[in-house]
Amino acid sequence: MKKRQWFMGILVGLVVSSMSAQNQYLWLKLADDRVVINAAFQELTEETIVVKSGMKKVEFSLSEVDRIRVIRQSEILEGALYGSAIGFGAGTAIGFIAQSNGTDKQNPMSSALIFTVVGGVVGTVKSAFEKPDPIIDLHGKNVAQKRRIIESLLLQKQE
Amino acid sequence: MKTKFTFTLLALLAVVLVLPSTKTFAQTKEYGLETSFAERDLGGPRFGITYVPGNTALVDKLKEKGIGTTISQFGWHFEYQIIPEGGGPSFIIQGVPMVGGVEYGTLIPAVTLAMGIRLPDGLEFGMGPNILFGGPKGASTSLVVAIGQSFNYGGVSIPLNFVLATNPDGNRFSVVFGYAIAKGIK
Repeated sequence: MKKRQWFMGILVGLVVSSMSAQNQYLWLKLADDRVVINAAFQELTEETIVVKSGMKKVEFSLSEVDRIRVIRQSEILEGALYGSAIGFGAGTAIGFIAQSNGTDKQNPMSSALIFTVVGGVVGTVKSAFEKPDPIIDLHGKNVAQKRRIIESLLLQKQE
Repeated sequence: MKTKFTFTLLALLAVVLVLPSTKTFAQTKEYGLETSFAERDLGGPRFGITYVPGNTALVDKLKEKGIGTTISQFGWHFEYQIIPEGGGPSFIIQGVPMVGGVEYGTLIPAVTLAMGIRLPDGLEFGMGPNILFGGPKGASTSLVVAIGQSFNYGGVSIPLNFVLATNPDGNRFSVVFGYAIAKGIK
C-alpha cells in the first residue's frame, strides 16, 4: 500500500513539475517536408525564426516555413490531470466495491493506479482534440507576411 | 495451459520484434483526405534497478534461488512513436526485453510491452503487459504501469522511468534509465 502511494507521489510530482515547465511549443513544417516538433520559440528576425529544439538553437529562414502551430501544453496537462483525478476516484471506488463483494482480492489501490493512468491518457487525448490550436498555413505567403502572422500568433498565445 | 502461455509469449515477442520495422499503419485515408502522421524511432539501451518489496511469494522464490530483493536490469528499448500532424501529445508503443540478476550469477529475463502518451515536454505515462521468467510459477504475467520524463540533450533523448509491475505474487518497482538517438522524422 505504502509503495503504491509512493508511486502515486512520483506521478503527481512529475505532472506538477511539468506544469511549471515551458508552456509554449512550436510545430513547424518546412518546405522540404521536414518537421520540427516540440521546439521552444527564441527569436523572430526580419528573415528568420530561431527556435530551441532539445538543447540546440536552430535558425530557419521564414521562406522555408510552410506551416506553423503554437501548442500550449498547460491545456493538455489540465486534461491529463482531470482525467487522472476522475480515474483515481473511479478506480478507488471500484476497487473497494470489488473487495467488499469478495470478487477481487487485490488491493483497491491497484485498481486506482490503473484507472489513474487510463484516465490520464483519455484526458490528454480529449483535451488535445477539444482545444486544438490551429495549424496556420503559410504556403504561398512572402517573408514579411509570414513574419506578421507568426508575430500575431505568438502574441495571441501569450495573452 | 502451457500451450496458451507459449502462444501469448510468441505473440508478445512477435510484436516486440516487428515494432521497429512497422511503417505501414502510420498513414491512413479518411473521407478522401489524407491524414498524415510522423514516425520516430527512439530505440536504445536501458538499464536500471528493480526492488521487490514485502514478504510475497515472489520474494520467497527469489530467496530460494539466492537472489536478493534489489536486482540490476539491462536491456534494449524498442519504441515506436506516432506524432499527429501538428504535434501535441504523441502516441508511443514500447517493447522492452530485459535481463536482471546478473550480479547473483543468474539471468532473469522479462519482456514488457507498454502503450501510452508522451507530452511535448517529454512527460510520458502508460501501461501494458509484462512477462517475467523465473517467478513462483516458472513464468508469470504482470500489469506494468509506468511514468517518466524524457530529457533531450543535443538530439539525444534521455528517458528516466518509474515502473510498477503488479500481480498477486508480489509487486516490483523499477527505475529505468537509458538513451536513444532520435532518428529523423518520416
